[in-house]
Amino acid sequence: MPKTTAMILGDIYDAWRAQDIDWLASYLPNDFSHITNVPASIGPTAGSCHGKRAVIDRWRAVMADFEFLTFDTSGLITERNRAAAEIPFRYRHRASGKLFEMTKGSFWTLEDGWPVRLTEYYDLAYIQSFKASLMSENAD
Amino acid sequence: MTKTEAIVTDIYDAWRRQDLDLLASYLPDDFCHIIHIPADIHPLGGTSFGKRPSLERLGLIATEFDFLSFDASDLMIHKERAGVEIPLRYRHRRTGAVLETVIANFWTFEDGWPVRLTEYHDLGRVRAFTASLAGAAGVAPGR
Repeated sequence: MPKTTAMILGDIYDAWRAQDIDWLASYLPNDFSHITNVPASIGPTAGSCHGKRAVIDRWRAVMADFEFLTFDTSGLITERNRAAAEIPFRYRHRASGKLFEMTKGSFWTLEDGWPVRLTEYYDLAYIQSFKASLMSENAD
Repeated sequence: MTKTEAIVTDIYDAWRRQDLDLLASYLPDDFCHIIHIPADIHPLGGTSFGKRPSLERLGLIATEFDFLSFDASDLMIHKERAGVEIPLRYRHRRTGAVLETVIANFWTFEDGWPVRLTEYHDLGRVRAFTASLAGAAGVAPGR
């Protein structure tokens, strides 16, 4: 029986929570794209990233920086070839111990049952505030 | 069409027509509207608690822009939640500049009625647009 959109994305989110990038990568095609709708000045995770390898490198860097405490995808809305979710999550920044707690919006596009694109929206004000708090701590 | 889908569709139709009275008729008094745009990018970002403040802010947007297109056809709904990416084109009335972008909306419903709308933007595009307006007017962004 082919996996449904909900099952595939459920597996991907389980892999994300487990910080198991190899497992997660097994669900992505080589031409997968990840788009983050924040200005490029925010850092390497901003903007568009095309190709599975580049996306995995981007996400591996996030996993290296943060420990994932909660990642609530219970609000996932799925259809045959697309899905959306507002995801509250709490990460701990490994270097500083600071908590990073916010909600993001995610939209998936699937083709032939497999994810080909993820577009994400963030609370930029919170990200800016978090980055400022890290810089302030480093300056002390 | 479910009641939830009918309500969201009516709300978006009202928004396209800039008919805020019709739009208001669907919102409870404790409606909450969140726009995730930092204040340094645009002053209309932030959270509006209550129907009246939410409508006042929507009114400011409607006053500032003509809505050329607003495509909510990708709406997804499940029970008490809805989400949609909306490609839109707004024309800034004073300058004629066109904002072409995609916004993301997430709705929360209770007992079939909308109680919260969270709105996310492509912040690179919004920042570039507000900067272009500021450049045209010779003032700082967001003023």
